[in-house]
Amino acid sequence: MTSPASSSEVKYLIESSEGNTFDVSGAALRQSNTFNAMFLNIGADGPIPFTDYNEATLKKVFEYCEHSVNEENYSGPKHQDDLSKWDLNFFNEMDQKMFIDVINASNFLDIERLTSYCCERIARMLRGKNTQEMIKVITLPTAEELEAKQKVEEKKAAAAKKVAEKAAETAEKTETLEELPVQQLVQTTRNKLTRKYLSFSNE
Amino acid sequence: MSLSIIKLPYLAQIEVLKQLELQELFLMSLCSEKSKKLVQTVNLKVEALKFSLNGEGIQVLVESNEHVHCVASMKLVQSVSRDDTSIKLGGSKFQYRCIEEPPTNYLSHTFQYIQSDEKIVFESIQHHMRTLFRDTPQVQLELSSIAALSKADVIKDVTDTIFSMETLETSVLENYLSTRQDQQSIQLKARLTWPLAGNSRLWHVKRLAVHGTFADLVNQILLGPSVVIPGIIRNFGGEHLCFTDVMYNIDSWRQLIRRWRAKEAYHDLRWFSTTSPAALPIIAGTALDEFNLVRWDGIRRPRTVKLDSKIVNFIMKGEIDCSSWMDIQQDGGGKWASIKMTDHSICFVVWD
Repeated sequence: MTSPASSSEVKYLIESSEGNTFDVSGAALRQSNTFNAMFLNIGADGPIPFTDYNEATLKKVFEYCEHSVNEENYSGPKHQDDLSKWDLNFFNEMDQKMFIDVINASNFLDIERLTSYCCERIARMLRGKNTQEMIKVITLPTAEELEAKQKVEEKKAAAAKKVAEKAAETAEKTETLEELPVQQLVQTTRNKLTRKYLSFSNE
Repeated sequence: MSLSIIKLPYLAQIEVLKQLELQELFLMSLCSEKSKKLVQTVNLKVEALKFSLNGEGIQVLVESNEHVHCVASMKLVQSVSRDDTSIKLGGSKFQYRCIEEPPTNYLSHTFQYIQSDEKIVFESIQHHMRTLFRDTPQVQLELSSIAALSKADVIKDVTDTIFSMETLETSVLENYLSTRQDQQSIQLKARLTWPLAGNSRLWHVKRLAVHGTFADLVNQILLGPSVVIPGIIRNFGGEHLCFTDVMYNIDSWRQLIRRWRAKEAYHDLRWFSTTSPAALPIIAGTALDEFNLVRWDGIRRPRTVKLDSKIVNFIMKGEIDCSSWMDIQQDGGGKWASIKMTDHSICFVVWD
């Protein structure tokens, strides 16, 4: 980590899940509340490990942070129509997997602005849709699919129960067949005889 | 692009849902049990659920943060084809057709159902709506026709009812009040056919609002003043009484103030107001002189009054500045009240 005079010029090293490191400016990093809480005051010796996320995702997230360094402070969700051309390009060039990875990373790093824009984008996908279209957009299982899944699970559970019962039955049989230790056998017989004698003497 | 919302972090899921309109949340809650639970996690708080019945279907409106949002609309049709999707609503399944509305409409989609499913639809939508929101919102019922009234039995726990039809038989209203005895407020946007009896249940309703209709106004101009309104003013025993666009009768409300001041009646009264139709300004002249009204001294009562929208959902909302209102006290050093009169309105508030 270098530390020039101006704090905005401070560069931090970020480590990704692949073990690769890359530079991010202090100003960009400060948009992450997670970073602010963890490293801003105590500083970071060596690369900061954000090793749950791959390099491509982290670079994408910090690309956004670097770009919005000079934007005014975040003040709640912004309507998608108000996004700049750069913002729109930023979102449009992501595929689905990258988009989800970015939301996850942004959520972990607690970058309010980016998380909110991502969520607004998803909300926008849902607007004006009917239930069937919504199911497709958010890939939720339909009621029928859930019913079918539940039936399969019930069948599986019933089969498992059957297997368990059979196993228990077999184990029981084996147990009775198995020879009991001699001492235990003697004791059991003695107990039985005592009970018989007592009942006899009571009569 | 499609994505699995349930794979998103919890906070992001909530953030997505928070950015959706109530109507979209409702649609989403119909997608699956999982999506319904997801909507429930938003923990939305609404003040009131309003079921509006017009004989040809049901509309559900939600009052939240003093705004009313239309959330769902179900329309009765002759038939739906077998190919139409079935929906699980409030635990019941029925065939429906989802119709996309033009962008100019407030709702993006409406649902169509057939007559044989109507009862299930009404019960289910009520049950479903209740489970979506936290706490227990007030249940309001708006009836736009007599046909709607006959179908309204399935809507339970109604505390506020709006009769929004041209004419309402007085006996029908009495019958309604006797079957639903826990009414907190009644709004009449209908012309009553006959004055109510002195022992009517309407007098025990806490909040009563009467909205004058155009037909009512024409009738009064042609046939003379209505006898229904003075009867209501005379017998009302609740807390809030409100008339809008009603032909005023200055003697009736002067009598009200007299009897309140003398502690003869209106022991629970907290608010009374009336507005006249635009073409008929109130000409009170010296009507207030007999009450020896006094200016507010800045001490004896608060400057403003705020009518809780949860309690008085049909009257003015927000804080009302009463600094210029004139004050009056009950005989024998009782409660204070304030009066304001303009060309088109008379307001009377009783201070605790």
